[in-house]
Amino acid sequence: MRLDQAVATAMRLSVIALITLLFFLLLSSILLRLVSVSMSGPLELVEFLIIWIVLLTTVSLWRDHELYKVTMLEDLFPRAARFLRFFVEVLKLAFCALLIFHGTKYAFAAREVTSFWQFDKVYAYAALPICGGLMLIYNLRDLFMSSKSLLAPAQS
Amino acid sequence: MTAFLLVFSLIALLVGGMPIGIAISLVAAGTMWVAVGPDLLPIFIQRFYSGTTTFTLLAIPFFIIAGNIMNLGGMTTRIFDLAQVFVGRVRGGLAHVNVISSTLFSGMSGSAVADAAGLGLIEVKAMKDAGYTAKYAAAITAVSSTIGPIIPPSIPFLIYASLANVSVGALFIAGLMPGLLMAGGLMIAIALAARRKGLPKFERHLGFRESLRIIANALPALAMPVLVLGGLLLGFATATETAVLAAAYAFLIGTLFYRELSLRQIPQILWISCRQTVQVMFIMAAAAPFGWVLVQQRIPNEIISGIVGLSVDPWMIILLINVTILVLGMFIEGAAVLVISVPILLPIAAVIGIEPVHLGVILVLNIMIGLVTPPVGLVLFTVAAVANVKVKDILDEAWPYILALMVVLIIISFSPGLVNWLPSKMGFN
Repeated sequence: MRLDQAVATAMRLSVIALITLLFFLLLSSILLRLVSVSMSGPLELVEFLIIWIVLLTTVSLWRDHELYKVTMLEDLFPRAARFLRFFVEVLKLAFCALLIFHGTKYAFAAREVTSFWQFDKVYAYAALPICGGLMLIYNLRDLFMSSKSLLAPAQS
Repeated sequence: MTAFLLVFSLIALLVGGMPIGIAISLVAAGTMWVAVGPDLLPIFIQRFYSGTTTFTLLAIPFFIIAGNIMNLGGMTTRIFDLAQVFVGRVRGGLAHVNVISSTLFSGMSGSAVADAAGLGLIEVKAMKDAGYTAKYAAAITAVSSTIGPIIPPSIPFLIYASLANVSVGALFIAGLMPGLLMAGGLMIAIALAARRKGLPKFERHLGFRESLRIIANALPALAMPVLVLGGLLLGFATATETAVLAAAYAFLIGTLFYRELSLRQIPQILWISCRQTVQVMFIMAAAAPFGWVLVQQRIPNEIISGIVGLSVDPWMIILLINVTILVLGMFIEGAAVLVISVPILLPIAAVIGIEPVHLGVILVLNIMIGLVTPPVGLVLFTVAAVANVKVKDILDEAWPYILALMVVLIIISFSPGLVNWLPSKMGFN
């Protein structure tokens, strides 16, 4: 529980720091353009920042079950909802596997560096398997909870 | 066959309660696997990554941050006060004020939910205090919020621009006229209802001096649309950069001029804004491999030949597009509707001679109506929470205004000149 809270806080603080950095990067590029100074080098960071912002926030939304979804069937048939939830959690494993397995292959196969600073792009691509791994952990937690609720009536 | 399987599995996953971005991703990856084999899956990851890091979409978080800062920094209140000066004293005045405020706010934020959650709070309270029923106040707030993403800047237009490869500037300008028509349509509907429903009049007389003070106070807020549109049209900044400037400007005005915003509030604003943004951007990330699969499997071509076989009358096809998107928008979140429909509808529009900009406005207007209709009306639920009113009660009051929006949709759909005229005058092809 404590670890979960610590991870959640770390994700929140990281996203806030990254979006702040992105804001100042873009703002300074506009202001510097006014005095005819090009900022192409630091703008190379944008891609790194945005992928981490999006995927870390996705993990946070995943953790809190707040990703957009259609709840029509759950609302119409509350009794069947736990079965649906179980199947959804099982299928979500496939998405995590995609991100982890192919994300890792993609990150290490790319061998790209940015043109100005020569940043290794593996640090951007690594967001895919790392965040996929975090999603998997939360997915397994939800799968456990959902299978518990599925078995609950049989036990009683 | 592939088209049928793809559509069927997507609907099954969405209706089954799978988060939209994951459902779209799994269908894209599944189609790749079934149609060609696991060798295509690295393309899924490649497209997913490029879909996440599209530069145009970077404007979305900053417009949302700007909207949230405006709500906390006092700009929203000033806009509402300003609207009262102009239309407050007629019967049903505060309902008109609600529409005008949303129209002005939409020139700054571009998010219907930011309008409903921020401005909506002020609007509903003011209307209730003035003697309107809570459900009527909530209904007007919900329908007026839909103007936001039509008048520039607009988050759905940014998404459409990135999916359809259309100029953001042209789309923003094209939205002006339809947005004003929506405001006009709603105000006519309010005026028609005012006497019949005995809506209250705003009795407090604002003197000349007070009116002048309110106008002067609102001027810094009103400079925001000038900054956003001016930056884009003069080529001074890209859509993403204008969004950054809008956020910076809202912060400066909120802290230094209105003095209602403190630095301590900023981390929370950034976090909430990121969460709101990523709800949409995660779907956009999934859109890239999905769009690739559609094209690779030649699914738009199959659908085009099906539709053209059904009817070659462009008006009938436009009607069909409207009905389809309207129904989709009732069940699926707006960004997802765009992701699913744009790769299919764009080639159809080209065949029957609809300009991509016109198609974009039609789609986004349909989606906005979807925001105030159940079962997935995001704005409807936001306003219901803000006003503490049941969704059903809001709908009881809102349906005449939803009809007014549909009339505007029909006008816009069948009068391409209304949409295309302004962008072409401003030099967009």
